[in-house]
Amino acid sequence: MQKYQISYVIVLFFIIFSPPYLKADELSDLKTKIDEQQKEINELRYSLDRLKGGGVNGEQMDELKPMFGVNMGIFGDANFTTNSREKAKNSFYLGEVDLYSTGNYGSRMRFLSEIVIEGEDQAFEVDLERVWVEYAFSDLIKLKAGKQHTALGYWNKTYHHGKQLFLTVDRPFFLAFEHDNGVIPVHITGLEFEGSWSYNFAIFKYEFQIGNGPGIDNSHGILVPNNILDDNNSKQIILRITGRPLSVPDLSIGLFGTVFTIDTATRAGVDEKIYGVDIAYGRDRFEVLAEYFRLENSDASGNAFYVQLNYGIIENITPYARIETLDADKDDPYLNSLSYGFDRRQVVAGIKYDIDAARSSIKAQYRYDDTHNGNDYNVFEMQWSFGF
Amino acid sequence: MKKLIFTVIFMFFAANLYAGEIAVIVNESGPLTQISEADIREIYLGNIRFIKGVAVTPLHYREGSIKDTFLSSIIDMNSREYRVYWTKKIFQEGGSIPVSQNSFGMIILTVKKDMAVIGYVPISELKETEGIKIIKKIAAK
Repeated sequence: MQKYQISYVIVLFFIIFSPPYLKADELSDLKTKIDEQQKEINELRYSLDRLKGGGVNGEQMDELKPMFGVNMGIFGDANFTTNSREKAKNSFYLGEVDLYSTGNYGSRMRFLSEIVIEGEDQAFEVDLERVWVEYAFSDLIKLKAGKQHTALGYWNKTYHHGKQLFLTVDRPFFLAFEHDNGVIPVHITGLEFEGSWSYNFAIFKYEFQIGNGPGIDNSHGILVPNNILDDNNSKQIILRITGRPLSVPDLSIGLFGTVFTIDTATRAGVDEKIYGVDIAYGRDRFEVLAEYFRLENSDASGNAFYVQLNYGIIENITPYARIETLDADKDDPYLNSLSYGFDRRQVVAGIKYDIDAARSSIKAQYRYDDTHNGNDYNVFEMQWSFGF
Repeated sequence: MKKLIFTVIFMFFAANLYAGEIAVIVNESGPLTQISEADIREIYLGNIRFIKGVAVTPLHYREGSIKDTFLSSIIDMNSREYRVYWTKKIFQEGGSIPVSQNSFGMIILTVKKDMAVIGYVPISELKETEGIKIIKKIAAK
């Protein structure tokens, strides 16, 4: 027993009093070994990921962009409004249930579909709002085919049907969807060429669309996007060019225009031109959006614009205000064929509370809806929107 | 006491930023070696998808102070704003948010092996720079 104790003491003596450089060397060796093993683990992980990713493609890591990847999501909203031009009685109502999916095949092909279930009178309707396929030749040339939103201004290309992403309860009234009495065609079925390029001072983007122009449902006085069959041989053409200065990357300025031929209630084959300018600037918690539209045909012209301002007082509470107007000429065959194609002005003010900015928000809004010769409305609205 | 309060307030606001220097790295023989800071921003915002005809893959490091520092310095957004931006972007244009990796080693290795990958790591993690080019250094906060 004493023999063992003596040997422990000797070992301890050597451990304690052994030269420190020996320990440093051992530690250094150990660290090198760990580094090498870590490298091997990383190499193995990398190889495993490549195998999982479905194959190797030269110098591209396709496992980071799955050969076929799909995202699916839902947006929805529940609302309350006092009586308004759109709802004759104080009402709770369901907004839209928006089912969307996006997918990609490799790095050049993308797909998107958006199906919306929404209340129409006392029933629910299902609409295919967007469906397109895209092939990207480069950043300068991307070709899309299908149904999508027209490149007429900032709002229509930025916000689609998901109210969760809106700051306000609804779109500016003249940019409402066709079946909600909007006066600007907001959907097009056809082709889109889109691309961007940069100069030393700015990044530019173009969107060129060609497709079926809208028709008018004269019994309801609404625009109809001709998704399945065009009602004439001429095609709608749309061009929008946007610039973002590199020195102020949060600012975008766009110019846009469209021409199409449409049969109105009073005259067939009206050549309608719509063109305008959009400005969007957002930095920190401040944002301003402004868009101007000029509507012209050989008989008359009209103007529409909105300006929207918001400033987040704290991260998840954002007060906002918007003014929106439509000035229509009484001789305009296009606007007079639409049931909401009259002079109108709205002032909107409200507050948005983000439970989570991407997932759920509550909005409370006051809206003053004024027409020259009709009823005016003071409307209070609330909306609880979500997306996941 | 005042000093203590200021220190606590400063630490509260500075807590989410990384204290060291961060390097934005690309493959040294790939097409990304000449890109500008504006290009890096546009790549991570999904507005530039191709450089010299090659599809670019941006990589993030996982959620935390290093990603927050990168986002605030290069993209000029916080992680909440970046997430909301991509929610809108995917809904508008399809595509998907850039992939995040959990290990610096994997980011470095991926950049070394793939000509069109861009990533960022703390400079202290870059023990070997063979095959890698640092195109931007983000100073310590």
